Amino acid sequence: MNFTLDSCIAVLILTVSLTYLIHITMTVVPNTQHHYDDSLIILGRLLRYYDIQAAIYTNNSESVDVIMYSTISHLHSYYLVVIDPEKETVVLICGTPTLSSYLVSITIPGWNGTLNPRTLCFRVGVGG
Amino acid sequence: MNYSIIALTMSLILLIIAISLQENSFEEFYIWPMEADKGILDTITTNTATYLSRTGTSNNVEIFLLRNLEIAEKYNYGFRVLKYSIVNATLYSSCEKAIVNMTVMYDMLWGRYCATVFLVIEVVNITEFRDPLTGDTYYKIIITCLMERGVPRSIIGIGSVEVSYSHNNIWILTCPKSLKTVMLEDWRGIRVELKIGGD
Repeated sequence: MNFTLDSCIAVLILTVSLTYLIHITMTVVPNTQHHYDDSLIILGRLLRYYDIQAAIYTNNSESVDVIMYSTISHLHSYYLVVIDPEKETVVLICGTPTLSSYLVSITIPGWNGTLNPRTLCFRVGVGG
Repeated sequence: MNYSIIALTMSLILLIIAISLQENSFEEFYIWPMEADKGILDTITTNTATYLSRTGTSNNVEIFLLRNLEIAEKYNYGFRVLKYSIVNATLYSSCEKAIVNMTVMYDMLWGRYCATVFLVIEVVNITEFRDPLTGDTYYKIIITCLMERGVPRSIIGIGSVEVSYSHNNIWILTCPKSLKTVMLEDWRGIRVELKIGGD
């Protein structure tokens, strides 16, 4: 093959593959900063101590605030939206609104011997 | 060596790096953690224990538990219970002790989990006293409480029963002597019944 044509094809192949790699890296790296799993793990652990359920089912946002800040680092903030999935209405909103994107969610089927599901959409992060 | 072949080899390596980056990030996003499962299962078991303690019968407990699991599986994309079995669903009430115990074994995708919820109230001492102004007689009952994670956060009395925390897991109940049973509820909503006045 002609030397010039060969090198041109090589440059073209490398350019395309490098562009693809950069594109993938740019789409992946910013998202990994949102710590989806951390939020889900913290929410799961919170549920095991029952205080958050008691606060949610009594619509006590002040109590939610105290429970959250006693669990997470003082350098972090949180955002919690409680939704009634059957009526599709928002029941409670607490925390820092700057963290209101990329929420993880867990639905609990009921509390106090009832079947009254609540979806907890939650995120913890640096956003105060 | 031909430049095109070298470039193709290098692009293949870059492609592998890009795919593994994408795959790893995908996994990181959509792993449903064990903690989330445990949180939901503990909530379901507590809810069922509350139902058991309030209805006073274990007839419909399994149906209630099943309904809880169905709702949880419907709304949580990563939550799946393969099998479950109720190990213990006990209600016991006497003048000395009151117990609610709900133990369920769940088989999950990651292994087996045993969720236990109980509340035990034990009477230490009962004394009577008379209000000198009204002449009414009251019981002063000293109790201790235990749950699966130590001491309950709070206990309230249902009806004309007053509860106060003394010290070191010693709780004091005050109620009129006319009462035959004392109903107590912990902060999770689990109720226990103490029989007083002899049985």
